[in-house]
Amino acid sequence: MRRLFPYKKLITLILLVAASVFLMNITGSSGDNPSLWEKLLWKGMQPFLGGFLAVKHKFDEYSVLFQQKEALLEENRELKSRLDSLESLLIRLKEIETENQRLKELLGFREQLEQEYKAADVIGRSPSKWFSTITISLGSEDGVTVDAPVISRKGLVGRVLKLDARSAQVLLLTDPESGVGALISRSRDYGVVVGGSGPDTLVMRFFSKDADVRPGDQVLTSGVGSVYPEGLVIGEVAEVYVPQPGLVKECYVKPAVDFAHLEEVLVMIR
Amino acid sequence: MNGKRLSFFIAYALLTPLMLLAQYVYLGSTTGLDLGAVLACSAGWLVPVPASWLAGFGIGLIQDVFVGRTLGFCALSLSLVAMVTSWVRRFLNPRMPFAACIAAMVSTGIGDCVSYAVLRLSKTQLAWEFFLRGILPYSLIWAFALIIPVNLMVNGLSGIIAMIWPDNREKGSV
Repeated sequence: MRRLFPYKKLITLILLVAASVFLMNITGSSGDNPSLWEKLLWKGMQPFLGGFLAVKHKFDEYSVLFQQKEALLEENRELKSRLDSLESLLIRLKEIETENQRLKELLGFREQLEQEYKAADVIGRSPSKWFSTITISLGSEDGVTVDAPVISRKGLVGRVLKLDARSAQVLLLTDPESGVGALISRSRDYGVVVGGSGPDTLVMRFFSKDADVRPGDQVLTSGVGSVYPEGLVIGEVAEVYVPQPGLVKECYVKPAVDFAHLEEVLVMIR
Repeated sequence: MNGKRLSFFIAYALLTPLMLLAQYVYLGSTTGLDLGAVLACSAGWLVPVPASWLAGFGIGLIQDVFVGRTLGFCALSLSLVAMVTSWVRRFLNPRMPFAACIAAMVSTGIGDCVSYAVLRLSKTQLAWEFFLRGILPYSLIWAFALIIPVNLMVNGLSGIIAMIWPDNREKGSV
C-alpha cells in the first residue's frame, strides 16, 4: 500500500471519475423503472422532506396571520369588485361555449371525451441550475403515469418524468431535454417547442421555411406525438429570427406559465 | 484521517442535506443559486487535498439525489470544483481579503464551463446564450457572496463537533 502513496492523488482522481461514470451509467434508467440505488436514496430522503414541508406549511400559516388587517380589507374589496366583473365574463363565456357546442354539432365533429385531471401540490424544485424539474404530491398510487401531461390554469407545464408511489418528478417545458409538438394558432404552422434557453424563454423551430409567424401569435400544442393532447396553451411568440441564412425560421416563445411561482398543477390521468 | 479533518467531513455531511433541502423546498434554482457548488468550493478551501475532492464528490452525490436525474453528473462536476479551489488556494494568501471569494469564483466558473461542455457532448440542448447570460454570471455572483458565510458555518460546526469528539493524537495521547 505504501508503494502507492506517491500516486495517492492520481488514484483518488481516477476512482472519483470512474465512480461518477459508473453511477451515470447505472442510473440513466427509464422514469418508470428507477434503479435500486435511486429508490434507496430517495426513500432515505423522504422523512427529511416531510419535516421540511411541515415547517414550511406552519411558516406560511403564521405569516398570513401577521399580515395587516387593513391590507386584507382593501384586498377583500378589490376581490369583490373583480368577482363582479368575472361573473359577467363567465356568463359571456358560457354563451360562447354554447355557441361553440352548436357549431361543432353543425360541422359534424364528434365531441371529444373530457380528460380526467387531478390536482397536485408542488412539493419540491430542482436545486440544479442545469435542469428544470419540479416534484409534485401525486404518484403512481394516485393513477399518475409516466409522460402524463401536467398543466396549470394558464397553460402547459410539462410532463411526468419519473414516478414514485406518492410523488412524481415533472419535466418542465424549460428543461433542455424537453420538446413539444406545437403550432401557431393563427397560421396553423407546425414546429417543435424546446427548452434550454432560460427559465422564461422557449424556442420554437418550424418545419417549414415559409412559416407565417409574428410576435404576439399564440402557440398551442399540436397533438402530434402521443404525449400531449391538442390545443393546450404553451405561450406567445416574442421574437422571430432566422438562426442562419437559408435555415428555417425559429422564434422565442414567452411561456404562458410562470414556472418560478408554480404552487398547484393538474395532472392528466390516463 | 485526523480528528480535525473528520469533523469537517461530518460538518459537510450535516450541512449539505440541510442546505439542499431548504433550496429544494423553498427556493429552487430560479435565481441561479447553486448551494452545492458553494459547499464544494468551501470544501476545496478548508479541507486539504485529496480529502477535499472526496468531500466535493460526496456533496455532488447528495445534490444528484435531490436533482433526481443522472446520478454522478453533479458528483463529477463538484469534485472538479473542489479540486480547482484547492489548486487555486495554493497561489493565494489565505489572509488576503476576499481570497476565498476569488478562489470560489474561479473554480465555479471552470466547473460550470466543464459541466456545460459535458451536457453539450451528451446532446443536451442548452443554449450558449443562456449559459453565458443566465447561468455563469449568477454562479459567479453566488459563489462570491456565499463562500465566506458558508466557510464560517462549516468552521463553526466542525469546531463544535471537535469539542464533542476531541482528537486524541493532537493532545499527545496514543
